[in-house]
Amino acid sequence: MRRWLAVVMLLTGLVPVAADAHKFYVSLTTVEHNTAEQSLEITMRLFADDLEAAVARETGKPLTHGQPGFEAAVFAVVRRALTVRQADGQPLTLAWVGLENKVDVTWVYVEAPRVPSTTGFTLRDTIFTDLFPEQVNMVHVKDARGRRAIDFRGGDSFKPF
Amino acid sequence: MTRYTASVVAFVLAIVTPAFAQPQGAPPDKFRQLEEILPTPNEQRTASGAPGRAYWQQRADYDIDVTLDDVKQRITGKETVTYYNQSPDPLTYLWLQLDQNLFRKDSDTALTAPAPSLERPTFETLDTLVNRDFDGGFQIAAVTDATGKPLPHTIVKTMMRIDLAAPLAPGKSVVFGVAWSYNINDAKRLGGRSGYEFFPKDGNYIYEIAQWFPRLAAYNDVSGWQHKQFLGSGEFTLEFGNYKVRITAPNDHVVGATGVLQNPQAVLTAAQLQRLEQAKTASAPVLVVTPAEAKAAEAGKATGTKTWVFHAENVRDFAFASSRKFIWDAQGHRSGTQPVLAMSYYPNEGNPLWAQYSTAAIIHTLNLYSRYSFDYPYPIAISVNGPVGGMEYPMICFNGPRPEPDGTYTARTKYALISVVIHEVGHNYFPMIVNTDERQWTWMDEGINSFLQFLAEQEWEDNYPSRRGEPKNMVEYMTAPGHDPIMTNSESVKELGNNAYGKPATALNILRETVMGRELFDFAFREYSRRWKFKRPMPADFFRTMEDASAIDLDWFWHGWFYTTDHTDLSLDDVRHFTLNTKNPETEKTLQRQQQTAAPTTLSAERYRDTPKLVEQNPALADFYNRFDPLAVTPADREEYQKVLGALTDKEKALIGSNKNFYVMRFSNVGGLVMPIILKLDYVDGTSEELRIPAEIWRRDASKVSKLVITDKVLSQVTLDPKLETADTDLSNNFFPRKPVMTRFQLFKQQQQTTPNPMQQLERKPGTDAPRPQGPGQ
Ligand SMILES: [Zn+2]
Repeated sequence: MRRWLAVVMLLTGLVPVAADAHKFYVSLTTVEHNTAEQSLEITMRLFADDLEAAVARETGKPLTHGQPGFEAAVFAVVRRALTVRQADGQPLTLAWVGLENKVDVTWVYVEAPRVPSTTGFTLRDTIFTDLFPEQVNMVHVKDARGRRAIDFRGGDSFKPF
Repeated sequence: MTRYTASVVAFVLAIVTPAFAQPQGAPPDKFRQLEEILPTPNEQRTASGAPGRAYWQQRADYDIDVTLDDVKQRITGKETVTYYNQSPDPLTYLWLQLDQNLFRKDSDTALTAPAPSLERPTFETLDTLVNRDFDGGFQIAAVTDATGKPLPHTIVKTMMRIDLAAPLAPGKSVVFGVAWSYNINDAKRLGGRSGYEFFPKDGNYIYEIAQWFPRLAAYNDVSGWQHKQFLGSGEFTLEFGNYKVRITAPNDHVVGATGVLQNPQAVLTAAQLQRLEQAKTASAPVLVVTPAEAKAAEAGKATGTKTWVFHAENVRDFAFASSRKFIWDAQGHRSGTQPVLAMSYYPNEGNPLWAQYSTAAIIHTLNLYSRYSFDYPYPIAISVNGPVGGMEYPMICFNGPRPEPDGTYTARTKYALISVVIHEVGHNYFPMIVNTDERQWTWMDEGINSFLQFLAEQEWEDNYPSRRGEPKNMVEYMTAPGHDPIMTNSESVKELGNNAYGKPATALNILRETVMGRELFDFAFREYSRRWKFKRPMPADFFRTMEDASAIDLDWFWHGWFYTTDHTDLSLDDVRHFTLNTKNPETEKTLQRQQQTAAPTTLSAERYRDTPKLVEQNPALADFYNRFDPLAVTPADREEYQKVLGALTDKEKALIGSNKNFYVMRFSNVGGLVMPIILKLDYVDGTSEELRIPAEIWRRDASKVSKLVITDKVLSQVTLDPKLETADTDLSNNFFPRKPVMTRFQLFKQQQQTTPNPMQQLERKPGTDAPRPQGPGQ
């Protein structure tokens, strides 16, 4: 019954919010398979203010770039939002590489070592979808099979590589 | 670089062989003329892209009384509209836009919204989903004719049809009235291009009021009635007209609006009047309402109402802002012969940023945009701080960025404010004056405006952190499979920011810097702006004018950048080096010896080099051939050469002796988009030069081309697009000889390995020296 109620509320749900002419809820993640290093190199381009909102939610206190604990909190946000599963369904362990701030954009770098092939992989990128109903996450995959783009909205499940 | 020596004859043959055979399978002609896609020119819109001799547009004048209810957050208004039918068609009904109906619970926007994520929803998300208590949308109280008699009308979602008693003939006008009210949305909670913001700290509101009155839908030669329903993304297309608006607000509010205040004596204090007068000739913003006065007003309550009267001429819309929290600054400016008052309205929460930057950014914008289009024709230009992140209306715009509550601010907030003020004030030119149809084509105002915004930002300070405009910033979007062409309707575009703002802004920047050159582009762009000032251009009018004024065929550019999703990825496949065979034995045999020496020694040859050989131990086995050097110049060689020389004219001798290097470069087009080929030629002597080849090199074969480059000096390196001006998406094939190109990830990682990251610097626990190998939380 509870489940059914939720569905009704969504059908009549409001959300005309995208009205703000210049705020777009979009992230872009590049997932590149480095065949020489046998690693999956992941670069996320996130709006810095969205990331700070997610960090505040994660840690329960406002933190900004450069403050102690910020990178750890960003990593927690990213690990919760971005999951890459191997062919057997096991998630890859992501290792922290670092982040870079460019005024209104933050670049986040993580990688998964020891990935000989991406065959049968699936992934999901839900970053910020819990904060913004209009959030769209674009993922560009580059591997031996070429380039592909996958987009995720709130509620989307795993999609094949 | 591969080196070839070719005889003169063979070389000449290689040139005359037809190099541009069309590949089989008829690939698309990237230079196909656009005429077959664009609408046929007519008396309203000419083939040159200008308004035709029979161009027409409608006009609507408004006379409005409106009351702002600060207790119930409600707007109540009545308007008398005079609608002038300047079309050649009789009209039996009129269509009006009811944009507030977007906020009705049964609006198409609400019904078609995608499901949000229900994983870990925030309280704010749950609140907007569950507590859907906002009763939005217009309540239409009356629609009457000029005598007050009710007119039949039908509401269709965000549109309303008014049926006229008799058809409105061409050249005639009709007067009618509408009375309405609506509840103002909480813009912080529900979003929207207008609305209120509540400040719990002092119990006050800021109102940014727009799309607040029933407005005439556009009727034009291209769409007929433009009454495509408002779903939230496609903004507005409206008719020009004159406005007389009387705004009744609490008597302690400060009101800013589209238009000139007609009754300053009735609504301002003597001190404010005097400051406003002083501002007109000031060289820095003058505070008409000071921060202290705004603070004092916040603590008080209204004792009645005041009515502010504004008149605006030749505008396509009208918006206003009202609050007792407003600080108000003003500075006089002149655009051509037009005196302008640049003004900002903001609460104390907007400082320190707003006092320093808002009005300064308005004036910078007017200066820059006027230089590229036309003088600003209005007497007022306003920037308001409130709940709306960024939204434009004639003479007034709403801009969101604010410092932190503690009075500090980040660089991000500072540049966000300057950028959004430039952008929104810039919209006065596009689309408020060059009146494009935003409901149909977002790029025509957002793309063109984002392009000029980039120019304004680059003239604000060195290395201004512009988000859009640089070609390299568009590379990720343009390689995304499944993205939309720019020529996609506003409501259907998936990534509006990249599609309608970023990509067209980048395209225009490339057109200006790389394809047309600044002088030709600026002339043509100014011509487009001038032709369509206070008129309604369509995409074809822009495309045609830019060609018409520049004599540059741009159909390939419009086609590739606006109608397709091709991207730039040119590849420099190889470079072959040819030199002339001089027939001079001294030169040629020396060259051959050099090549022989440079050839690799095989492993076996190397290992046998020092092994004693039989012929050396037993000289009786040696003969002529053991002593013969085939590369030694013989008297017979010299004689032969003299014979060849004797047969040549002086001109031919000079040509052969010119010592030129011939480089044949082969390119392929991987991304599909044809673009100019920009080359940097580095020579072995350390010098370099640039070679710019127009896109027309691709006109017969858009997938493979070759180019001959003749030089005196020997090349060491050729680089394609060395200054990243074409949005080339794959740089790894831009070098010959090839150079490794690192991804952003690899560059970052390499740089991280050399310097400890901030975490390692800041968070290293006392007593431990080793940086953690796995990063945080592992
Ligand atoms: Zn805009």
